[in-house]
Amino acid sequence: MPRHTSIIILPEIQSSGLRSQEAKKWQQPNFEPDIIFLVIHYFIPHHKNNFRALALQIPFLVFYPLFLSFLLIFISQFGTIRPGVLGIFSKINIQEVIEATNKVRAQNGEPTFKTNDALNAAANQKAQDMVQSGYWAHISPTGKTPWDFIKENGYFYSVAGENLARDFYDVSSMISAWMASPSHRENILNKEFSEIGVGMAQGSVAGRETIFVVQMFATPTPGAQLAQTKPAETKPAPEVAALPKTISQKLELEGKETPQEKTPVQIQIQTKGAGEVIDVQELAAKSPLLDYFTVQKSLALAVITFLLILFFFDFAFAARLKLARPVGHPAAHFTFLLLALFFVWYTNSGLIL
Amino acid sequence: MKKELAYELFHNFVLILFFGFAFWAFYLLRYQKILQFLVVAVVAAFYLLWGIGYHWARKTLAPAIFFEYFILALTVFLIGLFLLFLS
Repeated sequence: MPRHTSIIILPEIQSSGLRSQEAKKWQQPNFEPDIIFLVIHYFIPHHKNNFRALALQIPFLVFYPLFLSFLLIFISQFGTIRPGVLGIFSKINIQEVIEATNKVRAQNGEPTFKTNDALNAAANQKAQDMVQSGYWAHISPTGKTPWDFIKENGYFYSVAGENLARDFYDVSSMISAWMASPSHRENILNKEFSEIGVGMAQGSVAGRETIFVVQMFATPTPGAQLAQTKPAETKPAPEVAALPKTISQKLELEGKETPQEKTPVQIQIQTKGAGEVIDVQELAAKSPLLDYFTVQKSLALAVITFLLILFFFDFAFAARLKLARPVGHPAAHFTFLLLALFFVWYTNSGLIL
Repeated sequence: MKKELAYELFHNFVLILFFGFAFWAFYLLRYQKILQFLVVAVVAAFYLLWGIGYHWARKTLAPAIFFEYFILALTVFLIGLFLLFLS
């Protein structure tokens, strides 16, 4: 015999779980729905809505994914119409990246990095190159390695490494992402690195607004210090071999060329489109009011929280009134949505490489 | 009655176990969007199947119930798709 296939009809006064006075009022023939009735009717199961909040009945349930998709698409398109209002927005600042990296090193008992202008320039050029050539990798499509950028800036190293990040909203989440990845963490905490350079570029890649952050670590060749006093002894730095996933390179200490940069360094360069370099302060002034990802995440959190509240009431009332209704398992729905809430909460806009 | 309770416990245990695993996997794979999206897609598909299995075992499966699970799974899948790929 089938179980639980019919609705249990409880006495109307008790069944709603509402005050009997309220329920009596609703049964009068001349009753006109007021705001309290509508709120209860839409959000709380009772006899007038067949023991299921109207907002959880099928027509409404269909509306949620449609409404959400429409809003999320609208938000992603709105930035192209009004870039001043909605767009990619990042609170990342290069000095903060260096300070946060040094803080993490200090917390792990490692000496802090010295900022090097040549490494800063190399990291900036790498970030710009990724925007202009539209790639996201340690090696460019033309085969240029991070070491090429470093050497082009007159820095000769015994050990070097590179961490990449994109689309992070703030420094702390970016550093957390790197620290959560063993290979990136190894670069940040590597005892053999003594200097750091950070670069940043913003631009449109494959039709999508993106912010790249490049972190370069290195230790100059010991000969480099020597070279400043004994230039006659300098030799070119050795060539670099194939790259591991997160790049950390060790070289035999043969190169003894002058390591320091010879050109003035722009600390932070941002680009928009191919090759167009925009002044940092000008870009900061043009930053959108809201960030795409934050708005989309907030919207998703709001919809899931709304559904969670509805299913909580549905579950609570069904349990209290011992209702057996031909509907889905409200406690399971509640748990599923709770998991979805966790998913959204832990979704990050950024990527690391 | 005992059989019904056993059904209920078994289904709920499977659901909680799977959700716990998904919770752990999603956290472990943070910053790996493709794998995180895979977790979301698998969880959404699993929930739909779990709903069908649960109601089928209780002989309460109806188109409206299937649709309810489908809509919830779809909503979570779309959220994952937009936040992990299209944002």
